[in-house]
Amino acid sequence: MPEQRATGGPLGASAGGDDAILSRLRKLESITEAALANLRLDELLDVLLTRLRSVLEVDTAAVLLLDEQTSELVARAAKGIEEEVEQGVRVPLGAGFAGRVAAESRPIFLADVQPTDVVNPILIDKGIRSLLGVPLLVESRTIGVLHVGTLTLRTFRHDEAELLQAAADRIALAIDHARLYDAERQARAVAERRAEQVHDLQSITDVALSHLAMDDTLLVSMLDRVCGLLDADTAAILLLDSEGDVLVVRAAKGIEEEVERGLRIPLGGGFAGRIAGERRPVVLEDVDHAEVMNPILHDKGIRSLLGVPLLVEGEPIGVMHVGSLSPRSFTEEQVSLMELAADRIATAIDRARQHNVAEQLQRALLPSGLPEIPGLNMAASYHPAADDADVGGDWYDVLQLGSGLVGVAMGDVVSRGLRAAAFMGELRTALRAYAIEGDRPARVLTRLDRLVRGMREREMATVAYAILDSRTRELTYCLAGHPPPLVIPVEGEPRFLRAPASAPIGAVAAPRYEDCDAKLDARDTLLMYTDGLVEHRDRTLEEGMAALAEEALARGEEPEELVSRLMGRLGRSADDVAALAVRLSGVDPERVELRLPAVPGSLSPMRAALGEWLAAAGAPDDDAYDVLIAAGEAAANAVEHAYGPVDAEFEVEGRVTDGSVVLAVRDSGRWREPRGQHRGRGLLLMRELMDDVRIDRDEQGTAVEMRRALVRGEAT
Amino acid sequence: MIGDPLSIRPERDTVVAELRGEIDLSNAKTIAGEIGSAVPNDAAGVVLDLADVTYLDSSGVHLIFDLNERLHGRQQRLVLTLPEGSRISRVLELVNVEAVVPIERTVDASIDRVHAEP
Repeated sequence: MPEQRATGGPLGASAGGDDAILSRLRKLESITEAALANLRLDELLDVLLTRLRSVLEVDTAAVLLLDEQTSELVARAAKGIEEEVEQGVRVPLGAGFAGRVAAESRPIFLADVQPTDVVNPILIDKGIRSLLGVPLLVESRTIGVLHVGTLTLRTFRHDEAELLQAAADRIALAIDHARLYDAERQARAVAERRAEQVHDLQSITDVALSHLAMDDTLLVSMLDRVCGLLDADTAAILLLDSEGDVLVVRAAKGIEEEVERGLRIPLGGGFAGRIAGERRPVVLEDVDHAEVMNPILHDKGIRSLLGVPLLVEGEPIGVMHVGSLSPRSFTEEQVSLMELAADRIATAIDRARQHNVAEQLQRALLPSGLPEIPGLNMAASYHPAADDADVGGDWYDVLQLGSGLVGVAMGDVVSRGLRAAAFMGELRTALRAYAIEGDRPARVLTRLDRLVRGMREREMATVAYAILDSRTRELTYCLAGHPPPLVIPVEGEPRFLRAPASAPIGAVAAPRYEDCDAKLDARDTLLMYTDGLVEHRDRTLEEGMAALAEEALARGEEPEELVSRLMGRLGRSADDVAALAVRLSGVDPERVELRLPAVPGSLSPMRAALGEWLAAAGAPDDDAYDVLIAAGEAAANAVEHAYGPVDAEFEVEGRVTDGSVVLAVRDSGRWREPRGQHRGRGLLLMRELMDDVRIDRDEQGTAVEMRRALVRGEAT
Repeated sequence: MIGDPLSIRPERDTVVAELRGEIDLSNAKTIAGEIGSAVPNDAAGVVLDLADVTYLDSSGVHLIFDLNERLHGRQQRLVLTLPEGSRISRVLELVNVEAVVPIERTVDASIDRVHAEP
């Protein structure tokens, strides 16, 4: 058989230094480099085979790959006369021409092809006369064959054989890459699917962790997710009771009766009891009825079960199992997925249990409600840390100090956990005591600091304390290392109440605390908060404060709405968050009622309040001014004539009826007839400025009622 | 209340008393007393500058009339300074202050008025 072996020696005539061949080789190589980088395998084979055909001037070029499982060569791509042959022609390893190339892992040249030389009948049918084949080698392992053939007798020169081998190496490399890529892609797909499952699981347990209250709905929704992940029909969570020797079904899906019946399974007994006892997963592919104590599982027709322990620090707190209504097996991956789910659920349950204790203490120490104070609307909220088992000792307080003064406090204990909550309780009580004595804010904080530094176990806290005069809207405040309160007007930008830098309570020896003053406007909201509202891992304090100011921007919200929105938007913090909003009441345009001490000092605040009401009621400026003077005169009378109890009061009531302002000023004193030259001027002014003035006196007191049409002349 | 509602300065043999803010029952008497004790016997008179007064009721009116009477007994003159468009002019009109006490638009004009022949 005319045959030339390629190994080690020249293949036909050598033309080693031929420039044309070299340049063709380079051309081929440059293409393969580019192809390797950019083309998919099919495109690469297509380009390479086409190029080989024209460079080597052959009638066919084909690639066959070895199927290692069947030891056959499978046609993968072809150009030329084999092109129309369907892909997938199979050649046994060792048989025929390609089979030999592969089996012997070396180039083979057939100068004159005989029918017995080839398995593939197409080559004979088409009249192939000469064939040159080279193995596709990856790390000296044959993965296939590349061959070229001619319809005329042909001798391949050595350099042409080298060229073919070079192309084969490229193809082998590309195929190996592609296979690696495929394998990698498959591995990645598996990993991604796994990650997705874990993520699904995580999302549900994250919800659990953030809720910190393991209610049944939450547990059931987790079981839903677990069923979905494992393609199971039923699922249940059983928790060990406080004694630690009996499992009680806590939540179930598909077998909800378990919960209703309050099923109790002793540790070590039955399926669930065994899992908890042995602290390892148990799979029952075909439920052995003898092993299962729970009759409900039988009744439901459960055929296969997978159960895993719920472990916290290696100790079982319960069991979670899934069941299938048809017999099935569970893969290793599914078992480990189930263990992962159990791990997260156990952590969530444990954290919720721990958190509950400190949180309950914390909540017990916070005010159970805010006082009702006329002229003020208040709301407060406290959220424990989202993903920390320890609460942080945030607190707030509102105190009525008398004479319309209101004390507002907000604090944040630096440490965490039960001790922080207890310390918070002490601080709150001490602050109340000092505040109620009437101390100004700086004095209250100074005394608080002394108290704390005298304690055996030194703690620190930031505190903000402010006294708001609900009548004059004047605010005196002092900060001890606490973030500045925010004033939110009905219109315009919120502003932070600045204060000199100061140390937290208990932090340094002899800290300096100074009072600062601010004047609020009607319907302004004062917001106090703890740093959890402005401090976030991914932004600076300044950015957090800017975000708060932006979020609080005037919307005319009532405190409750404001606080709940701010907590929702900004309160997702690793820290505790507390917020307290106090809003100065606005003016009811329909009516106003004022009750003031019968002293000359009440006149100015009375006019200010009345002026605001008149503006809100839509009285034109000039009308409003006239009404203010008339009201001022009537009130001055009430003050001058007040007698009897030391703290006599007078009332001013205003309303708008039929386009007129109707004012009533009442006192408990006796009207005195004006005497002397000047005494009648007040009454004269009232009569001149108002359309109608009536004075009623009796033993109880005097009432002056006045009416004035708004925009005189229009109301008739 | 912002600052002292009263400041007093001598100007061309005249006491210029500048009032600010709100004048009512809570401060009228005090103000009247302070002005009264600040006027030397040899002063030609008093100018009550009401340009910065935002509120004035019968207590304020009483202050003006009372001061006027006391000065009159000492052969001293009282002149009010009240710019055009002042909010309190309505009250002063209603009680006809100008019939008894002259009103000028500026402090300078008021001092001139103090020195003018009767």
